Amino acid sequence: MRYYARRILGFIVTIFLVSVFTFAIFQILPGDPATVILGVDADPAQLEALRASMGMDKPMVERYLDWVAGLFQGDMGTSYKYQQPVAQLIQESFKVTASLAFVSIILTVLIGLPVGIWLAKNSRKPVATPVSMLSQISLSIPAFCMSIFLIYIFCVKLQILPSFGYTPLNKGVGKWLKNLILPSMAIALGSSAALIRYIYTSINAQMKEDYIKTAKSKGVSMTNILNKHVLRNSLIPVITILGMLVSDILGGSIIIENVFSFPGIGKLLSVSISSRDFPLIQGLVVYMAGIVVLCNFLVDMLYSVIDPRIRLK
Amino acid sequence: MIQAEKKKRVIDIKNLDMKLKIENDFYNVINEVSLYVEEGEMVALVGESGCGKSMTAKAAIGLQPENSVLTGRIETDNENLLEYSEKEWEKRRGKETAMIFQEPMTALNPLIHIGKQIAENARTHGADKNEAKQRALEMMKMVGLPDVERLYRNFPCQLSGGMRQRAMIAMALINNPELLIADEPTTALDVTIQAQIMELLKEMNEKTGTAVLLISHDLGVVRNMCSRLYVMYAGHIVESGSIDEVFENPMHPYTRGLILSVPDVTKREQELVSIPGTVPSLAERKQEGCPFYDRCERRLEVCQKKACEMQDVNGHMIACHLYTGTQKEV
Amino acid sequence: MKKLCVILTMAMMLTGLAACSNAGAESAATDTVAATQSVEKESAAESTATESTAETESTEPTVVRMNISSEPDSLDPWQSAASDTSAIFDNVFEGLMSYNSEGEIVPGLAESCDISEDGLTYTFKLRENVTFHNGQPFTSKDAVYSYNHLAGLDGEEAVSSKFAGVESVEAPDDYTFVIHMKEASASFLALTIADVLPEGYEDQATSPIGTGPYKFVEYVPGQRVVFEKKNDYYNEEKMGQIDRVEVYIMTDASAIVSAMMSDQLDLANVSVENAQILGDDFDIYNSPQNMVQIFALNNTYEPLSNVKVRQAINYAVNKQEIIQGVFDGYATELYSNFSPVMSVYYNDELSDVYTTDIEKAKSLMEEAGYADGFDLVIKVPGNYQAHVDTAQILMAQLSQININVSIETIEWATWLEDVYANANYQGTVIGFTGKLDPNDVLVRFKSTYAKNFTKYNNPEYDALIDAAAVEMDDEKRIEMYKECQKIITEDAVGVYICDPNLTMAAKKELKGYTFYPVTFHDFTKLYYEK
Repeated sequence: MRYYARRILGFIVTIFLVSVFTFAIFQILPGDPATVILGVDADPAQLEALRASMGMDKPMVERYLDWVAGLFQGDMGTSYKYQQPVAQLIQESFKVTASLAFVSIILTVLIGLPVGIWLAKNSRKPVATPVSMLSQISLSIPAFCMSIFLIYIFCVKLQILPSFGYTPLNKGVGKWLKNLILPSMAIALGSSAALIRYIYTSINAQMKEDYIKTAKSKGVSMTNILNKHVLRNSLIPVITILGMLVSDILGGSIIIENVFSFPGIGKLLSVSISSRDFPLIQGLVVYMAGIVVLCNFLVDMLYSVIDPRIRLK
Repeated sequence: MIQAEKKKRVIDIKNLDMKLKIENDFYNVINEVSLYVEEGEMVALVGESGCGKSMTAKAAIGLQPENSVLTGRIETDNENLLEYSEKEWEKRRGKETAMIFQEPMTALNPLIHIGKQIAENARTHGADKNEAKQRALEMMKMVGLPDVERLYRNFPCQLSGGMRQRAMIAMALINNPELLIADEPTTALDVTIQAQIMELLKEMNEKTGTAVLLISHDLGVVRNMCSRLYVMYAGHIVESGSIDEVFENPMHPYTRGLILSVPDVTKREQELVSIPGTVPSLAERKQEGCPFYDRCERRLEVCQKKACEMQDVNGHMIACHLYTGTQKEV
Repeated sequence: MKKLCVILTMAMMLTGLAACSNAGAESAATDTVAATQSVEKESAAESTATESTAETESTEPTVVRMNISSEPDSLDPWQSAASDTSAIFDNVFEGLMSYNSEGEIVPGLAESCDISEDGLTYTFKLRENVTFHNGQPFTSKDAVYSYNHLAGLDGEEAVSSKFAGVESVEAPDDYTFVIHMKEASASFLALTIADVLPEGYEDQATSPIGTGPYKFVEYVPGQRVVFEKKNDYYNEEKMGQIDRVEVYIMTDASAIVSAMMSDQLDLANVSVENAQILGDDFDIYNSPQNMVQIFALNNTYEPLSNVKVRQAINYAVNKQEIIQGVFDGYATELYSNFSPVMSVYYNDELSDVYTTDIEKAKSLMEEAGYADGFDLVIKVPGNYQAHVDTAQILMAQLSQININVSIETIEWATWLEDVYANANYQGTVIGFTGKLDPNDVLVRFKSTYAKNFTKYNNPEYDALIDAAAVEMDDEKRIEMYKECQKIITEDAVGVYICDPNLTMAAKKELKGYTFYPVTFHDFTKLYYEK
């Protein structure tokens, strides 16, 4: 119980620090949200009206304090640019980004896990070299290039998948998936390559452990050693990167979401920054801190489920 | 002597050489080692750390490093185990030949129930699930583990070091093997636990008739346990014989040194101060002459040039020029 | 003595002459010429072909999918100022007056407009068969509501300060609407294109309603805005032909290209470079867009405050090099802050004021006492690649007269605040989108203009532009605006570089894209050729 209390306290302190920090940065950064929204042709009257409706006639510190007060009542304020509650905007974008994270992680695991294991098992055979090289290459390709490459193949040449946009899940799983598959692939190809390396090293490290010697001395075959002994142990560190990956995607993949015109958190973030949408930026900061904390927490939970050494301590 | 010859040798290592290939160079790890264990017997293999004891043990169960080259013979049941395929080894390991290790804290898979790991040895060699579990529970009782039904479902992290080593012994003996290789089984344990585990090994040897090859750097420990003794230095067997014979009349200067330095039972891992220097590393080992030459207090001229052949002095085997009777001390 | 100016009906418009004017004192003016803002415009796009779609047997609704590069700033047209937003929403909303592809002011919701001789009273005769998208009929009540709101006569903040000249409005009957002005204004009629919204409708910001040929269907933030044809639109000739238009918000240029290539867009606004990639499989439409790309100089910054230095810069810059290097030749060279698209007001005598002449530039620099040059920082908004590229070329060109240029790429929001609002810069490159009213284009250089970011201050210019705004005689007014252009060219407020073409790529079977002198994607002109 004290453990959880400490974590929640840590979370609050983190959010406080980060929000003060963002607040300070946007104090220094030039840029007026009303002008950004209305552009160069804005009429002074329109600007004034917009500023007033944003509450920007108040001094910055007061706006920040208002925001903090609102947050404690569960109100994250209203976006300058979208004129909608920040919480609602984040919620909407979260659905998109969460879908992306979900499919990406599944693809990452589906590709990375078997290939990583296969590579560890066959690392001495000549067939392993091209596979290992391929995974190295896809690890080093930037997500942007990967996206363009995938779009070229699947949209331009084959014309079987859409290259942009998002369809909500309630319009049908097929449609939802169709829009998700390419951006998820773009993420998954890179991250599964990382996963492959990770699994490979992890398995190799486990193979040097004493308990492998014990298993061998029992006459357990190599295959059984891998399947029954090594795999579960190797997965423990892998959970950490999967957790990091999830919080990474949920925090918004700005490039991927831009290339695929995905209305997710990353898109929201880039818009909020470029339009100096202070309430939205602060809201996203809180959201992201929350995501990181939550993911870490879930990873810890998973650890203790898998590893009795943690659970039974 | 006559009786002994009738007994089956559960392992008979003859002129075993092991070379390790490290970056295109070959290093001798084991030279011309010959060693046997008869059924039901407890035999000790002693020497300082780095002498090649563990490597010999590993070779005996087919778990030598992948970069090693073995020559010679390891015989049992009239077969040369060096010609075994990995499949054949898998059948043999855990069944005819079992092994327990120095570090019980890490030798068990942390994520699998203790009982299941014990039963796995039976399962691997043909027992069905229930039978394996029953036998595991029996073994656990036999090695003195308490409350075995509950313990079966415990994880290694829930057990103390001594209990884990008991579990390891249960695991190793579940298939009633001919030979148990115990590689420094008590080194990592508390002194009081050490004695218990040794006691258990002795007891199990008597109860089940499983022969034990006990590897230790501690002469004091083996004295009360084993009937015969091999002394190993820098990859060579330098002396062997019955425990009483060797302890009463140690011949090789190295053995003498070891015996003189037998530590006080209460001071574990006391340094063997009476032998100056340390075991040479693989790269430092000389190709010719007696391996102990550099550290020997009684070395002869001939020792530098030529290692002494193993010779039988009344059933007491010794490889030292001192006992060929022709040379002078330096 | 009252002389009427009759607004002709749409049928009469086909003569090509717009006709809403106030003929002032001069008797020479006939009813038909005068204040039309006609523009000779070469548009690569074909003109409308109303007949072609009806024959297609398929009952499938026709859909056009296109892109815009930014989110709508507001769905409520009175809250919106971004040209990307009006470019699509002008299909939904209409004003009393409207504009055509020539930039002429033509009747919209009003059939005709009478302007009193003193220019103080505007009487609009409203169309009778118009309904809003919610079915509510359009009457003078809506006009009164809209103009009260626009001018702030309803006690609330005025929507735009441009309507400050309105004194009062009235509706003598359901289809007559009268505006009384405080003082005469030559540019007021152009302002009556302001969108008229239904009285008492509160949800404009979320589900906007207008009278236009297309209805708003949905806006999914970050994704798309969808429109549907209004089937009972009152004007057969401006009736939409495409059933549904989906406008996708796409910020990434390469995403737009791949969406075109993969048959996910039918029409797209692309860069010249990307147009060439799409070239063979699509029709590329190209037209000047009444934009001014300017290398603006801060006229109060030390060396730049010297007119000789600014003139030297003008002599040193080779605009054709920029047009070729940045826009691949698809741009029109400018000589003042005015595009030839606005042909009526365009001063065509300025083309040889500065011809590239490095020697001349050098001697001007010497006269100004800067023979050894100086350092100049050009701040460019990084989100506009063309401006960044232009700055690169400027850097090379200005080095010839020893001006050591360094480029600072800044964020758009920073540009708006630092450069545009606070004039905290030395030089910058920016493009201003087209306006229908010359005053809107030229007033930027008036010293008292709120966003006079060049800090140009010339009382003569201020007086002239003020006078032009209230000059009701068109000829005089045109001359005044031409004079304004001359002044800012000779004073070398900045370097007026070019009007970059607007480039549209369309599927080969999609025809009818029409260019306007303001950014406007007219959905009604689009049709599929079978």
